[in-house]
Amino acid sequence: MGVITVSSLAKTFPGPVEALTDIDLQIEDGEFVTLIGRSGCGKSTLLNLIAGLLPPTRGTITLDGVVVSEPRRDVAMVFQQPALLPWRSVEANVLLPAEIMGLRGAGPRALELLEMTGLTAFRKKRPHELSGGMQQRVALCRALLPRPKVLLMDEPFSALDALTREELAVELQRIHLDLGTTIVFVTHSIQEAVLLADRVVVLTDRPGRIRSLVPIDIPRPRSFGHNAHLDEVAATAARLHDLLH
Amino acid sequence: MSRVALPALGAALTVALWWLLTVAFHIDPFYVPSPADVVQTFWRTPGFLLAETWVTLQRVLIGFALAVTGGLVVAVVLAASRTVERMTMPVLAAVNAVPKVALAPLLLVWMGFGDSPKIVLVVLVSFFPVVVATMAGLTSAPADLRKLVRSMKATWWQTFVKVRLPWALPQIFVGLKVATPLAIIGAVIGEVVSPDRGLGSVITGSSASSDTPLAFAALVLLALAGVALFYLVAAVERLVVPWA
Repeated sequence: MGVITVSSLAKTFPGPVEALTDIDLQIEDGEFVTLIGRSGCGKSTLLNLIAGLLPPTRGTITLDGVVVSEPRRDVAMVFQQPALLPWRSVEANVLLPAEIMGLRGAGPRALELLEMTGLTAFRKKRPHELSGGMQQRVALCRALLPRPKVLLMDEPFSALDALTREELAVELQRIHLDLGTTIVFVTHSIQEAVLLADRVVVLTDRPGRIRSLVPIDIPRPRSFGHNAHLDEVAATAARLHDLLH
Repeated sequence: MSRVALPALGAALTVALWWLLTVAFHIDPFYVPSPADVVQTFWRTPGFLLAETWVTLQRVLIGFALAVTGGLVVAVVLAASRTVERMTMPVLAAVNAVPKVALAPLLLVWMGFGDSPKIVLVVLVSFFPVVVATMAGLTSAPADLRKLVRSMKATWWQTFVKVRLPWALPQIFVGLKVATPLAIIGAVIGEVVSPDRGLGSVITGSSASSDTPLAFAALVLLALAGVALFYLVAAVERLVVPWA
């Protein structure tokens, strides 16, 4: 299970800066939700709150009915930067959570994940020998190693070039379909939001509130290539565009 | 090829320029001896000069080892606790600002002649660069990485050993490279102020007897020792930090 319930959540930083207010959101098990909004609207803050890295000012977040008050080992994170350890091989980077959490026999799981993301041939390489897209795949494998219930992704593709981004977006859909992990994905790209999400959460400018929840029923796998749903993708993107302006 | 050839060429050109200047301006060897005079002086008593070099080098190495060990420990403690850091940083900065040369005569009063005042001086001058560089390194791990290990609920020790310390290594080596020449300077100051043995004492003695070429021979040996130590640290760095 991986049900996230956010109720009457607000976060104010010292200053005071009101980052988020009146957030009510229910994310279902296995759902793929993207959070979209302009920069500074508090979407990353919301992700950090769900991760238990920040305490809420008001309101609560629960995961499977348990209040989130600190980080949990069944919630994994991927950031904009791959945040790999430069002295470790790809494989050793993927195994980092196993070492920290004391998981035994994670070796085969790591190889399986590397196989799934096409990195098997690179497993002995150091991160700097890999392209940005490959490094981010390694970060994804590392996050998935302990079989998390929830995967939190903070603009994971925004440092990559457009082609690699789309490639990874397609790959992430496949992985989500295979594993059924609940995914909360922060982005400022409308295309990415449409491509990936079961539901898009549109946030207002600061203080961030939920402006709209947009379900996306376009069949998967989605891509920007020629396919039967090109018009639907375009129409949904246009709608999100209007909601953000 | 160019990693050996270019530095060698640079050194050769420097010596050539030195030689040229002494010849071109007819400089009296009493003031500035030519490279030839210096080499000749060295070959007059090679055993003696090498033995004195070794004395100085031993003081440098012992002091440097103590400074590095102490510096690393202090930096780790300071990086671990903000309270301790805030409390001790002004004191450390103040102690660091004291000119170590000014301490040399005091050390002579407290410890007399022998190895200890020289080693203490080496520790004093090379300790702070190690502390400062290590602290900077220990706080340099990127924010995302720190967030990542926090999200995995890593313990302080796990974070330290698996992320912060290895991440700090390149910067620690910057500190070590700054500290090596300082260590030699510290030893020589100690030997000049309370001469007994070592190259610093040789320089003091040679000035007293107006033997400038001997002083220059000692200076050249010190410079060579400095270069050797620097490249030794750099070689260790390539072994320990191959990713940087």
